Amino acid sequence: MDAFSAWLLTVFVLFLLADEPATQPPAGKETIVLLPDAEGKSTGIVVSSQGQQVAVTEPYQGIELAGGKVESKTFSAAQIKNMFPEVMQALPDQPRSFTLRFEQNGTRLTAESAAMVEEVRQEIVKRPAPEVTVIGHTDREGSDEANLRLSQNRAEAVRDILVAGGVSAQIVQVVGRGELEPEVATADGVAEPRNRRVEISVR
Amino acid sequence: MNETLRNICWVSLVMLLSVGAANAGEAIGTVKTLKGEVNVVRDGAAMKATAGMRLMAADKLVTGADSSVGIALQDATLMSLGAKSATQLSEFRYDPVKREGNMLISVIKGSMRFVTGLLGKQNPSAVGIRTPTATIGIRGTDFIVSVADKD
Repeated sequence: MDAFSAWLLTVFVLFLLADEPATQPPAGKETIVLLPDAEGKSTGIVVSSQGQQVAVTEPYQGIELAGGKVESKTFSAAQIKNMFPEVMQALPDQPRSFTLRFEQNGTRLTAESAAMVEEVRQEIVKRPAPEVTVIGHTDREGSDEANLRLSQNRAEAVRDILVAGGVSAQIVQVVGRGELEPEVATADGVAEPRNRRVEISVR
Repeated sequence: MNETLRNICWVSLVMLLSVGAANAGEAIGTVKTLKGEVNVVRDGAAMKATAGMRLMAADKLVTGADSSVGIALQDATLMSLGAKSATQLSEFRYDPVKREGNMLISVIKGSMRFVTGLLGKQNPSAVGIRTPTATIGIRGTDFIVSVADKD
């Protein structure tokens, strides 16, 4: 083959090889520990290593991988705090969500929701490097496409309110989810005021 | 080499390059807090991390002694690294309308704590974490991964 195609083949092969995991055996031990879900919900991980697969479904249960062996191990909350103080403490705070509702079929907030805006702003100010996601929702009255647009408009209206209140537009992401996530399930075409809402998530 | 083969090679090369380009330029997360010596390695160059710094796919987070960092990804996944640690945000694609995509996190050394975000809550199989010897699948979780270093 000519020089051009030889070069191309080498680049492609090198790219693939770079993706392969290291083949030397690990120098040390690996430990994987499941922690409790923040809301107390059921949780779990599945660890695959050395041809074995182990599921861990209880908080503070874990796996130790060393010298080709896979061993289950139980830890206590105190042990975890002692073994991993920095990584435990450095986790950012859980996001906080607010739900704002609208008058009828437009983009005007209810009085109760308008009052919540200040609480949102205070949550933003409290956090280091805050980011905000504003997610618009609709009920199932109207077409999917129209509702995607309406939900986007609602989310943008709320973004504008936040920006008018001093929040930087650069940290606000606007998402319209249309009818995809109703708070109250209904049949298609059914009007349901509780689904006409905007969720503000601050992280 | 004949005309057809040369054309195929060019098309393949362009496709290979565009796979990389599709991920380029879009922030996938943000550094929230940091302590001590924290760097973000991107395209082979190390940059000092700062609070609020945007992260890109393929970024590698590296911490020094007595250091730590906390980050959030676009789907509200939360992560932290402890001291003398390195973790790479190998892959991250997320559509916030459909809540679809995929992510792959590679723990290279040290400690990393991971709390699942919206992507993992909607589709656990879309989230993968790997260490030098293991791959980890999730079911809506908070967990720690520790990889001992030679030193």
